Amino acid sequence: MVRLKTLLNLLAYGVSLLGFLPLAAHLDAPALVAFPLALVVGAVWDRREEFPLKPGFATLFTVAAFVFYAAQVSRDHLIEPAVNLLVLLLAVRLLSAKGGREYPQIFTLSLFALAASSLLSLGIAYLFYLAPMIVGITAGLVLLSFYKVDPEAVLERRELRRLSGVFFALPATSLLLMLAFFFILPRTQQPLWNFLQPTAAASGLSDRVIPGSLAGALEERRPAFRVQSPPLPPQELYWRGVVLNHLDDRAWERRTPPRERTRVEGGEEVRQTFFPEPGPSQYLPLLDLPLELTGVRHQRDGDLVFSGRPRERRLSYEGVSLFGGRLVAEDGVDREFYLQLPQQISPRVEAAISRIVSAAAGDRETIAALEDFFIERRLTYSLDAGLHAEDPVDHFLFESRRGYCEHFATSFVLMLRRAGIPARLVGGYYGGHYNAMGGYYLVNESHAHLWVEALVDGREWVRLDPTTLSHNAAQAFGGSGLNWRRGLLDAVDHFWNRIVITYDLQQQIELFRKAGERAAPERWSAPSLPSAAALAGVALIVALPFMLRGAGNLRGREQRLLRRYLNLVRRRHKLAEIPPSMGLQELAEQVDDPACRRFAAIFGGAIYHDRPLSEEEFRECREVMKRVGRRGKDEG
Amino acid sequence: MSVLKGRGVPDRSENDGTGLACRGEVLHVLHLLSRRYLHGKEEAVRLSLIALLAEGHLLLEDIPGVGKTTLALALSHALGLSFGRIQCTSDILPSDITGLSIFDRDESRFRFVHGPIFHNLVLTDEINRAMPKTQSALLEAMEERRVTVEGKTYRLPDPFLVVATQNPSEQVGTFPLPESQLDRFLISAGLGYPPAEIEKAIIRGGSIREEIEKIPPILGAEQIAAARRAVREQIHLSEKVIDYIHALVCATREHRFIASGISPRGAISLADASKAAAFLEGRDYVVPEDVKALAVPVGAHRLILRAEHEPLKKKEVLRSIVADLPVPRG
Repeated sequence: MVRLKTLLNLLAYGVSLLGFLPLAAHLDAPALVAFPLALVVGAVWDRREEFPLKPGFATLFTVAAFVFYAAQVSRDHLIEPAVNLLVLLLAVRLLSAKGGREYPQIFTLSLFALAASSLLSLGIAYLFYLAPMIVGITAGLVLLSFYKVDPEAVLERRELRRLSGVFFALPATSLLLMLAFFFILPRTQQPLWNFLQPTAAASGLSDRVIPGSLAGALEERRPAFRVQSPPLPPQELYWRGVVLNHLDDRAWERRTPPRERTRVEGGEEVRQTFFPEPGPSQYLPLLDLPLELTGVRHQRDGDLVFSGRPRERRLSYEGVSLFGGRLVAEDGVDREFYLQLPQQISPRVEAAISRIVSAAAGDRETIAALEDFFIERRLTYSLDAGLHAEDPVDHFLFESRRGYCEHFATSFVLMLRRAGIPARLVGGYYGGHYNAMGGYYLVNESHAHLWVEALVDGREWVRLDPTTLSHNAAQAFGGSGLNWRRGLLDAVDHFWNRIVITYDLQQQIELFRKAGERAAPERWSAPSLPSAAALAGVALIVALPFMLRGAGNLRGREQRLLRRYLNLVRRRHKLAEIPPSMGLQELAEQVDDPACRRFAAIFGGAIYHDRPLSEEEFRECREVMKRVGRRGKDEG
Repeated sequence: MSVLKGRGVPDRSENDGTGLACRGEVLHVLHLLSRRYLHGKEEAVRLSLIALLAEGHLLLEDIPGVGKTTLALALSHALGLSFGRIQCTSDILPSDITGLSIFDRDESRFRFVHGPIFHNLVLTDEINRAMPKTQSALLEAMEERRVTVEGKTYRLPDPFLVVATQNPSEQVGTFPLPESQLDRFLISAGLGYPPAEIEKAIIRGGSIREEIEKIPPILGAEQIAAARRAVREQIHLSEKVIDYIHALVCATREHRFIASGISPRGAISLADASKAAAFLEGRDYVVPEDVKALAVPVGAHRLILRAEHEPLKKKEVLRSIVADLPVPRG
């Protein structure tokens, strides 16, 4: 035995909570505080059948909140005031008296709140809020129909069980329909609101690095990209992004590289599919050493840097890399370009370099000696590097001796160049969490990395990662794997993005094309524009009579009434058939029934005046029909 | 509680509050004649009234002595109309019908003497006995509602209703009306023998000519004009019924027994007659049943059957067509 009102209250609280939660991260403090408070206070007061907020105050409060947030609205700031207002309205509703009118309002506001959250984010969480909300609202509406009849009704357990079948059957059907519509209806690929607001600038691959200008790198958990790929040795996971080849005063930046012919050879061919997160970066990361890229418009430079347009939306592309291959500069390189140095180098660094160069013979030995020098310095890998902009290389190597990839790489490349070895910086990502469930690597922004490429013997670009020369490299890059729970969540998120969010018009067309190919393999290649237009035309022609019929709906009503009347007369008067040549009056005379005469007079009076039946006539016709064939009983 | 109000929809089939002018009087004539004086002739009286209201003429095809003249006389009395009678013979001349100019010695000039046609209701007996020349003069007068004698045109009185009779069984010495002239009669009907009981009563009572002389005029020319106007202007002929009439005349034209079906004039006549019938029923709209009931009286005499089907009766052919034609019901 459950009171109907209690059930409705529970549903109202549940549904409004489902509307609030997805918005919680985007709310201002007042709404953030007011809603949970209203939920608790409302629930407590409900038990006492009292309501903390009297209607007058509720209206006053609503108006005040509306004015406050309306004042904040501007073109760039529209959604936030709206969602705050929504949540506040919801809170007011929870606190004030609840009746047959207020429950639907709560449901509607909650649904709006959830819908508004989809303007702010397109995460899979939306689906998990939506499904229970639909169930809750359906159940609420069904219960409301009972509530309208008897507000004090009490439901037996058995009745409730039978009703719950309806609660779940209706949403289940609509969810199935949603699934079908998903593949058909046009869609957007990003939060609706975001197209007005450019994606917020985020750290990522940058084509300008100033070592020591930042106190520490941001440890961002934000995913940079996901890549479907076979599992690879974790120490070799270098995702090549951009090459920085010019030192301008203190900043390393990318200049258009001199023309050089390079060739990648050897190694193992690895195919990957990349799903980069949207962001301002134009560089398309690929596994080192990349061979080719397909699936998106791009430009390829001689130093194996692939760049496209800033990624405003989710996309995917495929890459082929030679894992463990060699990058050969076939005709040599512009040595001067890759040997360019800053105006001054500190005496301590100069001294170290001249010591190394004098001891070594050949490029390989020089590099090995330089690496030894780094190891000797017992440098510490630390994200907390301290700020020193004056001479970062000198400071890093001789003073602080702690830093992160930027310090290691920029110092190393500088010393290489000073030693006469052409060298450049490569920016990208290192490592990644392999998700065995999804068969992909998750690479976060925190995996951003900087390493060095040196031209050995004037012919081969060799990858050198000076960061590994820190004494604590093993711990720093120990490869913190994802635990299974986070792995699962990320896999779900990935597939949501892959299947739902990046499911775009192109894929829709692909779907229809494939369906068409299956249906008529020899004729359909692609739905061309003319054939699509023809199809639409045919559909319109087929639909037109129905549409016109809809316009003359009244005629249909008369037809239905007449059909019912004739059937009734046939049954009640036991006629085998009413021939089409028999008029209504004639019929009435034949069966000699005053009700039929009356019907003929009313109905004929309308249609033989070329007008539809009026409401009153329609009603009277139906009244009269009840008396058809009843005369014998009444009079006899 | 407040006073109960009416049901909103006026009961059009029963009362007279339909605004149809003079309908009560016309119905009174119908009931008076058919129930009191002309027993068993209700249908004929009704058709006569329909012909009158639809501004047409009536052709009664029947043997002598079944009451054609009595019907015409009774009508003229009840309707308050003047009555003229033309007994057609093979030597009757047009001037015998229209009248002629004779020289008046006292005034020393020709004076036009009005013929029998200058009456509201003209009974033309045995019209098929008259010569074609006379027939056509009569039919022209019926159509034009005026007479031209010696270059001078005389208007016929209004209302003007010709009730012509012909004996279908008599063949010798007759000039059957050509179809083109038959077309000018709105309605062609027979009277038939009265039912046994009524005939016995008639035998018992003897001729009622004298009684008929005493029938008080119920209507006048003005009322008839008003009723005709009501038929013309107030009775609604819906698109559905127009479609039905059209379908009917088309069916007669396409029928395999019929050489020539109902003409457009016939279709107009059918529509007019149906409106008059609706008037008598007290409806301000025509229902297909009106058309069905009048199809044979209005249409049958206009049909020309194919030579090989000549022996069939036109009425039966038309009746079968009407019975097969679906009516517009909704």
